[in-house]
Formats: sequence, structure tokens, C-alpha cells
Amino acid sequence: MDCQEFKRWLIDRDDCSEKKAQQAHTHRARCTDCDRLHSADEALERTMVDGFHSADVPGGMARRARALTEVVEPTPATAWTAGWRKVLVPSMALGVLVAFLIWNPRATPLITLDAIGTYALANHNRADMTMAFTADEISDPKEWFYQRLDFRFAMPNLSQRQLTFLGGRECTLGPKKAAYLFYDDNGERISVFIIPARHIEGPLQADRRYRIDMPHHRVELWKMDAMICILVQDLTTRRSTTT
Amino acid sequence: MKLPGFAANILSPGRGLTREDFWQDAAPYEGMLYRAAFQYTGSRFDAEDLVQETYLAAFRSRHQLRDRRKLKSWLFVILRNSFLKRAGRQGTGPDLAYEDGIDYDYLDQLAIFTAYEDAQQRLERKATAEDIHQHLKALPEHYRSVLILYFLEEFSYQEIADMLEIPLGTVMSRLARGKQRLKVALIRQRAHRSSREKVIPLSRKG
Ligand SMILES: [Zn+2]
Repeated sequence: MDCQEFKRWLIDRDDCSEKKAQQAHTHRARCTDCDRLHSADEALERTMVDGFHSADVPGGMARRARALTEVVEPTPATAWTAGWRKVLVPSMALGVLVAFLIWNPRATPLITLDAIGTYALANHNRADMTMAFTADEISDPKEWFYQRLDFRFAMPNLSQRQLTFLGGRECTLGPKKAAYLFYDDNGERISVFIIPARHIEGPLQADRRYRIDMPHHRVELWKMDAMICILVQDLTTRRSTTT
Repeated sequence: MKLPGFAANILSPGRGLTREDFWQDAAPYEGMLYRAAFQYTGSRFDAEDLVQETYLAAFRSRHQLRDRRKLKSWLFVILRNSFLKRAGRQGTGPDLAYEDGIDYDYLDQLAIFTAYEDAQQRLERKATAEDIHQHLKALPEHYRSVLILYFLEEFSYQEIADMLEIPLGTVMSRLARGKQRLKVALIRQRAHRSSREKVIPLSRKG
């Protein structure tokens, strides 16, 4: 086996025979270049396997689904117990849910900066994320949000960027509730999300703007009092502005 | 619920799992389902939602499951179908008609990368589930499903072929191509900056 054949084997090795693998092994033992390629390829395979398995699984999903089915489709029972079931089963299902929310150790996980960018981008691109109110319908948007979210914030000042406030709605960024503000920039939609800084992992300096590069989008973050603002804009249709 | 072809093959009316049996058998797969759902949706919230939807749909059809050993595959097929349905409904779903023809020179890029002094160190750097999702979502759905099934659960080629209702050879070529694309994406990520370094200060406010 020569270097070319080795490379072909490396690409197709899942489908190759034991004999080919043996020949590749022999080649690798005397060719440092191919040996290095092989080690690097193995490292990437391991990275992929670990990466796929690295998502933290929230417990209790099957249990909660089951609780739902108990409500929707009660277990066959006698007439006597069926009456009680009508009261007991929904309250037990609710109890399971409440208990889950109380003791779930992951109930308040911190969100990483990368994750917050991903969540914000997902909301920005969702077609069903429409405004719950428009700017001319509500005189005090921050009050509107305060009635629906568990935090109060001042509206960000984006007049420097000449953005026009269009409206807003609630949304979630991963597991946390957030305010979603819609702005217009010369006909292009800009999304701004506001979430309490206590939900975000790692400190952000108050006097800085941060940028996360995402495919075809720019995501900017900055701290505003006890809040984090996340601005998402499309890069595909506009000129690049800052670096 | 309309059954997909794969499900039609393993389902038959009138037999199948009782309520108790269903939860006993299905509950242990919540981790597998959630990780797959996360790779499809990229959001914890949506992934949990998708798992829930999958369990409820499977539960409703549990009487029809002919072969209990196929429960895991069946759950995955329901999950994938639910995701595709949602993606279609949202209109922001994956690009399902992506061209296969692009050929990345994986080995060339790998050779360049391994010439870095700290290549091995960079290669050993962990990838998070979010990293993998970012790279996966750039791929067409037919690569994604094969990769998810292969890496998450080590389903055999034949099992994957059955679940996705595609020929064995197609599974093998999609897997090989998908793996190469994913590896190229990981190399590129490692050739640049770490995710922490990726956050760049823009400008100081007065
Ligand atoms: Zn060689």
C-alpha cells in the first residue's frame, strides 16, 4: 500500500476489509505523514462521538409525558374510583410537574454566550415569531413586559444606530423568558432580546459590546444595568458594518 | 396518525404493548431521543417539546407495535417525522433539496492542519452538543439523520437503511460524506479561535 492508497483507505475505512486494514497498519508504521493523518482523523472521530453525547439530558421527560397521558386517557377503573380519578389524576399529574420544577437541580442553569446567540438567532429566524403589540398600540412597552415577565428593564437606546422601534412580544431564550423587541433599519428587521444578566454564564463588562459570529448573521451583546441585550441582524442582505 | 412506511412494516393492529409495558420499555430511551432532538432543533426547549410529542404519538399507537424490540427505532422514526413536519410548518426548516455534489477536500485540509505545531492539542479540544448542532444544521437533512443515528446510537447500516427507508449503499455514502463534512467543519473551527476567543469586543462606549 502506498500513500495514495492509504488515503483512500482512510476515507473509506468503514467499508473496507480486515486485510486492507492490516495493510494500512503496515504502511502507517513506516510513513510518518500518513500516521499523523490517521491520528488526527481518529481524534476528530472521538470529538464527534463525544460531542453528540455531550448534551445534558433533562430528566423526567417520559414521566411528564406519562402524567399527561394519565390525564388524557385514564386507566380503566371501576365507577367508584373513576369519580375520584377525575379529581385525583389531574392533581397528581400537576403535583408531579410541580415537584419536578421544585427539585429539578437543573431548573436554573446558566446560559453560555454561544448558546444565547444560538437561541436569539433561532427566534430571529422563526416565521411564527410575530409581534404581540406594535409600537403605536402601547405607550409604555416596558410596563407591558413587566406584567408578563418577572423582570423590569429600561428600553435600550438605539437612536445612535437610527433604528425604529416597531413592536414586541415575549419569547424564550433556551429555558428562560425574555423580551423580544422588533426594530427597523431601512427596511430590514433587527431583533433585540433582553434577558436578566443573572441567567448568563460569565461576566460581561458594562462598557463593552461583544460579537458572536454566526452563519450569515451578526449577533451583538452588551450589558445594560442588570440586563443583557442581544441584537441579531442578517448579514446576507446588508453591507458589513463594524469590525 | 399516518404511519410512515417503516412503521407500517413493524406495526400491526390488535397486538402490541400495554400501557405499563410501553412506559417501562420507552422511558429509558428519553436520553437518546433528547440528544437526537437537540441535534435537530438546536434548542433545549424545542428538544424537550419534541421528545414529549414523540412519546405521546407513540403511546397513542402502542397497541399496533408488532415487535417490541423495534421500539427504539420506531420512537426515532416518529421523532424525525415530527421534526420534519414542524420544520415544514415553520418555514425555516432544513434545506431538504440540497445538492450532494460538493466535494470537500477533507484529507488536504487535514494535512494542512496537522502541520500546525499544536495540531494535536487543538484536535483534542472537546466539541459541545451545540458545536455539533451548528455544523450539522449546515448539512442537508438526509446527511443529518444518518449521522445522528450512527453517532448517537451506533445503529447498524442496515437498521439505518430500514428506518430512513433508503438503500444500504446510500446509507454508506451519506455517512462517509457526512462524516467528512462534519470533520472539515471541526477542522475549520479549530484552525481559527476557541469559542471564548470568538467573542470580540467591538467598541467602547463613552
Ligand atoms: Zn504514507
